[in-house]
Amino acid sequence: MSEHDIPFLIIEDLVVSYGQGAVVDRVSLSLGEQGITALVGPSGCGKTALLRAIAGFETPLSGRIAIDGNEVFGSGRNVEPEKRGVIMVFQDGALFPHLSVHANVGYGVLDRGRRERAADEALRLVGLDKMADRYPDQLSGGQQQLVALARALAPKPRAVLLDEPFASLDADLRGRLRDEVPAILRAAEVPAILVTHDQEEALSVADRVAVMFRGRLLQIGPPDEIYNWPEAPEVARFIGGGQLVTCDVRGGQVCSVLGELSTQAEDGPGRLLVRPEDLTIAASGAPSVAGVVIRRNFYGHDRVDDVRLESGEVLRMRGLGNETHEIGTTVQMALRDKPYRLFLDRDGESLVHQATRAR
Amino acid sequence: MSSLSQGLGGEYDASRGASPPLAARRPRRRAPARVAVPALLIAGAVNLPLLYLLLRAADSGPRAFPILFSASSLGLLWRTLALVAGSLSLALAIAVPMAWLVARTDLRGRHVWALLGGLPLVFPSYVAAFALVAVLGPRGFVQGWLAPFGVERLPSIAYGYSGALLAIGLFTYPYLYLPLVAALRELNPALEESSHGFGSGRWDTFFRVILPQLRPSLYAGGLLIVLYAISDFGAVSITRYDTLTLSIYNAYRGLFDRGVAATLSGGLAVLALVFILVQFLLIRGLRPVRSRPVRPPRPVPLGRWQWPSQLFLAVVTLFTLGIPLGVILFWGIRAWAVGNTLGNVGAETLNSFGASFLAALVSAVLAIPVAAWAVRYGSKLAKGNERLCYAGYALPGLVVALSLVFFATRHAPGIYQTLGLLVSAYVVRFLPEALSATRAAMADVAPVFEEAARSLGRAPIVVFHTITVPLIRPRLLAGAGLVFLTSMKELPATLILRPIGFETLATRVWSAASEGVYSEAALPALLLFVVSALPIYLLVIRPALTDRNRPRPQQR
Repeated sequence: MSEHDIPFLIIEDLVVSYGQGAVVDRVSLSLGEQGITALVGPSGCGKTALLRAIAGFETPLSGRIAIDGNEVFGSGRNVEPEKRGVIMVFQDGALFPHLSVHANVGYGVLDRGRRERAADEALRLVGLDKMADRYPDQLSGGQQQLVALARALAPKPRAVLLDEPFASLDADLRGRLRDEVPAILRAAEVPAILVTHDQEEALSVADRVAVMFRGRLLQIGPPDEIYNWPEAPEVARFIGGGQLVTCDVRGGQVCSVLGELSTQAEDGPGRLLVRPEDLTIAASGAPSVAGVVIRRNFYGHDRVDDVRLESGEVLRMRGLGNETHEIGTTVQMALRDKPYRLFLDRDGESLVHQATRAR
Repeated sequence: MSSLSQGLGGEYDASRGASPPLAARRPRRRAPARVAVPALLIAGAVNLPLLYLLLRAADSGPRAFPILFSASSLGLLWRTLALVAGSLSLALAIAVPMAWLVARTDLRGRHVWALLGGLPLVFPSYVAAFALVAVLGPRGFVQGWLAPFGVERLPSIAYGYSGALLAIGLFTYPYLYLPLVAALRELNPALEESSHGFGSGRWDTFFRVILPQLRPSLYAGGLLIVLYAISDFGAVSITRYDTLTLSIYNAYRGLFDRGVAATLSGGLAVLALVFILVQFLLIRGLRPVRSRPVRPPRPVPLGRWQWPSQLFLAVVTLFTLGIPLGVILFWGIRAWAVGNTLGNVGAETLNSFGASFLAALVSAVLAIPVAAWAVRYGSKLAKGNERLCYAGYALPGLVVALSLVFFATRHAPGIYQTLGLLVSAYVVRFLPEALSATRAAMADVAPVFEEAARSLGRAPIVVFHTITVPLIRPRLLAGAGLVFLTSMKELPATLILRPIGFETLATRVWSAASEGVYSEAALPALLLFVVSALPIYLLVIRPALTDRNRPRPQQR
């Protein structure tokens, strides 16, 4: 498709400030593909501010935003929200309480002649065409969210911006909508940016994940890449509960409490990304590290144990639910055989390397 | 009503204790000129005549001092303050026990008493004074009943200080009573119970635990009564108690030297501002009480106090409802019997309705940009601008009217004694009633609805018509209704600004009562009562008495 030649969203050096300090700090971003981009980060990281700046509800301090090749912010221009061609879906739907579901969905279709049909189609797309004559207060929370999505899709926008769309739903409903919403967006062939503080949601729903931390955009990429090869220690820690084990690189060897790995990196202090599932009970006779189980979290299909090493460090180990360790027992742990992410600390910056199990 | 007095002097804001919602912490887009400019112009226009009055008073500086500090002026000040102190004490003596009885005890018929307690608001002070004079006057009803026993004249309690005091105190106590009932219902009974648990007696608990929590309502309602007492014209003129307002009116009518009227008006305006400042200082130090009751408080059993309490309420109601209604009906029926029908006040009715309707319409429209700027963009400038719009409400109607007269005769003689100027006075005075209703409604409409609508491609003006207005409509109308009612009852500004020959229901009641022609006062007073009783119940009394803890039904 030719429209993929121009990225639908370009952001350059965007700064949003609420008085003191930057909430969004020199963020640059270019989204060319269809699909869902999740904007994820801990609360207060600036992801909602970035979304609102794209929608036009926040005036940035500096930088540039272009939607579909048209500059909407920058060089003295600040296009009104209603003229940006992107539509925002708010946290609890923000359905107009005085309008019926059908009138809500048709609200954004400016062409009167097309309004009826567009609203019908959008409601059918989200599977709520039977609810057309109801009012928002007669819908469940999940239905309200779906109507809000239909309302955003009906005018055929260039993109939809979803601000924590599942946050106010209970766990059961959230799970269902996490399946339905991406399917609807793909069927409508409308790209979406979804803000969430829930990293699991970001990984499972999105085609692309952008991680923000303290106003900076740290990394953007496919979910598995973000998970397996984070480019900053903050990304490693926030996504998937990564643990950073201090280590020392000497002559191609990575030395830590967990034994030795080999690497191409230069010498110096560093940190090794070890996820709970990277740790396993060592086969007898293999190199291992001993620790005492101090806490157990049993989830049925799996379990996570907190293990205190002799050094005093506590590491989490994930295993299948059928292996259990009593609190107080000593276990022998080893690293699984796979490549690992290694961060080298240099002058306050983290350089990115790989490490593998020594042969 | 409590929100009105907040606008007047109080920084006190019940929402202050809660952590601000996320949306409030975010800075917004800067207010567009289409909102800010009209809002600034409205606040400016509302304050222009007042500013002019102050400038003029300052202009006559050296000449003003001998007038302001003459023995007669100080005497007027003293009499005014005596009326303030007496009215406030009387209102407190009625409102505090009454509110406690209906809100917290097993008083029999407390729902009916709760409603009756608010109703005296229906009677403007000149109707109240008229009723008191007709009953308790030297040759009133009571004297008629006592005549067979050889009583030729009653002592003149209906006139002078005691008359004015009764006419104001007995009929303004609801300004205290209504917010007190609401506050008492919202108090957390657990606080009192824990006080009892510590071994405190009932009286001790009342003074040390309950009363301090009622202070915001006491100060807010108290300020309204104080402002009412210093600005009242109707009651003091009918009962012939010479206060600042009455002398200002007479000086103005005397036409010798309008400078005296202007100077005394300036003094009266300053007096009002002093009371507002005092209330502001009192309320500023208060921490809002955030503990909401988790369950309705258990009513205090009255026991052998049940019947004395009933008697107390019955006596108050006799004076505040029985006497005025009885007088109006008695003289109304008499007037009707001699052929005076409602048709005789047709022109007055039309005039009252027309002028008040215009005032309500204009106020509702003007309130929108001021409230929108303050609520949606929330800058210091916007909030200060909103507060400025309350100036006319704080100042006595007489002062507002005179400032408009001075301004118009000097700068716009064409509008002097026109309907337009009269409606302007109503708007300057009562815009805050529409403003506080509109602001509350806007604050309840989350900005996210407007943002969603704009995001869907609709221009701000369309969003305003299709989303904002439908959502705030009920309370916008309620605010306009309140302006309509208060304009109908307004007296001093109407007397001064009306076009020649333009009589309203209020001016008819006043002039007939002043001349002692009760049969002519009764019909317009009855009309005023009939027109305002139901709306005042719906717009003022019921909202104040409704339990705010109960969730409101969803708007559709």
